[in-house]
This record gives sequence, C-alpha cells and structure tokens, in this order.
Amino acid sequence: MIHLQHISKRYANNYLALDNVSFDLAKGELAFLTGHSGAGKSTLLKLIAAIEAPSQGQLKVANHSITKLKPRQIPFFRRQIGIILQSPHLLMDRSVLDNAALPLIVAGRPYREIQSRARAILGKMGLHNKQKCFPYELSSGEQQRVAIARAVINKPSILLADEPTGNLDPELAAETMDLFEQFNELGMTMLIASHDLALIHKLKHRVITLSEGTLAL
Amino acid sequence: MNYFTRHIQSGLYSLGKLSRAPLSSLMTCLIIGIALALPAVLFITLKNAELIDRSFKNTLEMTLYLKQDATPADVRSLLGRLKNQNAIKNVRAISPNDGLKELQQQAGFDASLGSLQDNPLPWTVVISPVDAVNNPARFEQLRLHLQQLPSVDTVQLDILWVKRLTSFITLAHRIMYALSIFLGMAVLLIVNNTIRSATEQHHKEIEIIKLIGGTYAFIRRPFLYVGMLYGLLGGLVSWLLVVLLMLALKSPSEHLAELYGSHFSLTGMSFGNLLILLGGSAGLGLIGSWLAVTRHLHQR
Repeated sequence: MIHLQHISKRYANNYLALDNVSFDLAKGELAFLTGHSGAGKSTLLKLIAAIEAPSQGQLKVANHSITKLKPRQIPFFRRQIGIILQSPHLLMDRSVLDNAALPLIVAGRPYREIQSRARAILGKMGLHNKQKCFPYELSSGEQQRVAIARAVINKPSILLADEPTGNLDPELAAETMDLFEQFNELGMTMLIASHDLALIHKLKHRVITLSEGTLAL
Repeated sequence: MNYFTRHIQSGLYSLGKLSRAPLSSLMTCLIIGIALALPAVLFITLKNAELIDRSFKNTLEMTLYLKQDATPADVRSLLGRLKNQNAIKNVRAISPNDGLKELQQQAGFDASLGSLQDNPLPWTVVISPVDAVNNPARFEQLRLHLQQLPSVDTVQLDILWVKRLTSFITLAHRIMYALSIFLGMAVLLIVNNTIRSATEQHHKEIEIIKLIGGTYAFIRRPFLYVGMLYGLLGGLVSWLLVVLLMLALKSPSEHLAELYGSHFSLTGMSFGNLLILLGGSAGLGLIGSWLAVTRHLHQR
C-alpha cells in the first residue's frame, strides 16, 4: 500500500532530513514510526501525504506514484488518506459536527449523507452529545478525537498520524491507540509516528525506527 | 448536493462573513462606491450634454436674408424652388412686417424700433436642412448653392458652436473612459487587498482544507463570492450616490432650463446603465479576489 524506494529529502537549506529510506507497508498493516525528534518522522509522513516532494527516490502510495502526481490531482489523492497531526487543527468557528464532516463537505457529498455519517462517527468516538459544541468548548482529548473522526470519516484506505497522542495523558493515549487498532481491524493501513516507546511496545505491531534520517534496524 | 446548491451555500456563507464584520465591510463597500461614483457622475453629465446637443441639432436652421429689392413675387418663386430640394426639410418665409413684429415683441427693442421711419428689414427665408450636422459636406454644398441664388443677399448659419459642443463631448467621453479604467483598476486593487488579508486571516483554515483534499476551486469559491459581493454592494453605493446627486440637481437644473425657455429636465441612469454598472463592479470584485486567492494558494 505504501512503497518507498531509496527516498531522500534534502531541504533548501541543504539539510538532509531523509537519506535513502526504503520500506513497504502492506495493505491492512499497522506500523509505528519512531525515532528521536528530528529523526525525520514528520518529513516522511509529509512525503507520503504529498505535502512535500522527495528529492530522490520512488514513492508509491495506494497505487499512485506520488512523484508523478500533478498539482490538480493532489486533492483527490488526499481524499484517499486520513491525516492526523499532533495538534488537532480544527476550525474554531465551526461546530464539532461540521469539523468532523469537513472531508465529506469538501468532496461535495449530499447533505443527508454528511449529517448521518458525521453523527455515526462522532457517536463511535463518544462525542455524540458534543456535536453542536465548538472545538474550544472541548478538552484536548476530545479535540483530538474530533480530529480522528475527521480523518476517518471518508473511510480512507490509509491513515497517517503524526504524534497523535503527544498532547494526551497516558490513559487517553492508550484509548486513542485502542481506537486506531479498531480501525486497523476494519482493514485500514496505518502508519503512526510516535516517540512513546512504552506505549508502542505494549502493542504488538511492526515498528519502523528512524535515526538521523536513515532506517535503524 | 449538486454544483448549484454548493454555490448557493458558498454565497450564503459569504454573506454571513460580511455581516460578521459589518463596519469594515461597509467601509470597503463605501470606498468602492465612491471610486465608482466619479465615472458614473461623469457618464450622467455626458448623457445629458448629448441630449442637449441632439436637441440643438434638430432645431438647426439656416437663415437667408434676401436683397432689399426682392419683391413678394421673387420670394414666392424662391420658395417654390427651395421646396423641391431634397436637402431641405422645411421652408418658411418671414415678410419684413412680420419680422418687425417679432422684434417688437422682444423686450428692449420696442422703443428703438419706434424711432425708425422705414422698415429696414429684408424678406427672410428660414430653412431647416435635412440631417445637417451628420452630413456637413452636404450642408456646406447647400449653403454655397443658396448663396448663389440671385435674390439672396446673405446666408447665415450658426453651426460653429454646435460643432464645438460636439467635439467637447467627444473629448469628455475620452476623459470618462480613462477615468473609468483608472477607477476600475482602483476597485480591483481595493478588493484584491481586502481579500488578500482575508486569505491571510483564514490561512490555517485553508491549510486544513488542503490537507483533507479540498480543491483550489473549493477553497477559492467563498472568497470569490465575498469579492463579488463587495463589488456589487460598492456598485449599489455608487448608484445611490448618483441618485442623490440627481435629486439635489433636479430643481436647480429645471430652473436654469426655464430661464433658457426650454423644457429640458435631467436624465438619470437607465435600467440598462445600472445593470452595466453593477455587472462591471461585481466583475471587478470577482477578478480582484480571484487574483488574491490564487496568489495565496500558489505561495506555498
């Protein structure tokens, strides 16, 4: 599902963030991406999400060759992947329901479908009584759950998460990971960047470790 | 949700955005309105000047003063010849006596005319030429022809100042077009600047929408509506300003026309003019905001 071959990323200031990284992630696989801060975890996720372009190498995601994607194709590619960042990045002037439904709104789905699917996913996240709230009325754990709801509402084939539990207390972090495992069981391919080694090792999944831009074994 | 309802949604959302910052939105609309009012007022002025010009052209006449020794029989034969000419629409003769009466009716002449022993006035023939101003060559030809007739002493016509007015209107038209272009560009820049700061305010929102697969068109749409609304409302403001000006000028202009013995009254903007004004200002707003959002989207 995700296929990296000799991927390097050098930034304009000549900083080499990723150096010849290769790995494959099969359909339905869940892998943790770990390493120190600055090891290149976020850069790697940005390349997979087509937010940035690799300097070298072949990158295939969900049968799309990312390096050959035209700018106007990128939005449609992004609809196939869910992205979760460390901070929830919610729209503060829109309700929780609207925030969760945003990918469907953007994709131009019918109003009824948007409403029912957003209610369903918020219910699954335990947020059914917060639908009409605004994000600033929620706790940070709840906000992150809204962000997760937004990432998965479109039933993406791939979910990318960058430190999704970074702002959460251990209990909430464990709950969040539990949610991810549930989505994974439904067949979603997942790559979760995290430096919470204790939590990662408790869960028996593949671990990809980055160290100064290269794969560490 | 089809394409059409999505546009309506965007439009309503934009209206909401404008109403959430009423003061600054109002200011922007006022600035646009004032900028557009200037060419609009010039346009109305020209429209009225053209009406005056046209009414003068329609009443343009040529006056033939016949020789003192011309007899009524001469006059009759002249009228007969003139009536058969294609270039002449209307002919009427004024006898020396009628001419004198006409003069006596005008204030101030009475006393001085009374002191005259003989009537010094010649027979006069007044001609309305066909299509005089639009065909000056034919008009000139007619004048030369009339000048050569044996019983005619002088041919007098007052076309010079009509020509001056016409060329002044042409010049003023150019000025209006130039001003419209300058101020249209100003409107474009005002909207561009307003939308540019709006995109910066919504930068985070734009980034999120990009991240979840929003196309540029989707991101652009609400901004385009806001820009178009600014233009449209600005156009309405300028129309209101013109209407207010017309109301203020109505009675003084009618009074002035009355002093000239005319029933002229000011003509305002027609419905078509209003549509062009609103369409143009909305279009400028649309272009201004399109440029602003596109620039923002391509920055990163």
